Amino acid sequence: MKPKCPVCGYAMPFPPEDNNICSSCGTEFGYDDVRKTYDQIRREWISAGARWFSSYAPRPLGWNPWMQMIEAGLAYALPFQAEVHLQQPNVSRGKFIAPRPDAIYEIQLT
Amino acid sequence: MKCTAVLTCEKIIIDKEGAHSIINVMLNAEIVIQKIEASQSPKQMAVPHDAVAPIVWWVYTVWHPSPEDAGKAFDQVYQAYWPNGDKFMESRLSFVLKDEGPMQTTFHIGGLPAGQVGKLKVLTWLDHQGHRVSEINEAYINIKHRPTASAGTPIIAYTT
Repeated sequence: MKPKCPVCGYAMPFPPEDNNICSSCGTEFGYDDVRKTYDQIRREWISAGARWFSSYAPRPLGWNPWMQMIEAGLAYALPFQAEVHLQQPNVSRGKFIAPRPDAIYEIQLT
Repeated sequence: MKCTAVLTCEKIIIDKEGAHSIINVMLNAEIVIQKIEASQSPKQMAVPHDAVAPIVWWVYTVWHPSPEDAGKAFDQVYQAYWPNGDKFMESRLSFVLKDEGPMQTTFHIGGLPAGQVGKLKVLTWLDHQGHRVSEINEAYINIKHRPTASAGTPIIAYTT
């Protein structure tokens, strides 16, 4: 399993240390995180638009910074809160009723 | 393989014997999104067009195989698209069909695309040995935005 960036949740190809730079948020580990906490760096990244950082590593197709954070367990740090209210569409209900026989037959038991 | 059901729902309960119960079919969703400022007080905002609500939702599918499908390995492909047509996700679920009986599959996604109004489209189909072997089946969730939060209706997700 790839190590995840503690700032943005990106699955990095290398550990977040030794001046490695996260392609997603641009955090340089061992430099940016010396005087700032991960939370501070994350807030700055989000304030700047939470954009893909690297110009070398291509942005993954369908990349979404919020989904990345959610999947990494960083949903608490999302800059918005969301409520989802499910609405029910039109409903039609039916019931099967057995048709009445046209005639009633006498059955003789022998 | 023929698909006879594709449903998006809030939850699926699977009992010990494998019986599936579909909870809260998702067809229409009204979403309230509020920005959290540094003060932690939520404020109304223009919704980020790529915002994702951190709720888990599910896609339930039923497949009816042909006799020659028994024993084959399939990949079920899932795709979801934002209302503007951009791809939100793609993933695969691999399974081997044990016999000729119908097959139920479930797949969950950890976030609901919430930033855009319109139809969220879900596509799913089966691949076998790298080739599509079923129709492309579709399901939709109609996303609306509610301008202000209001009380009294069920909330299935609330995050801070």
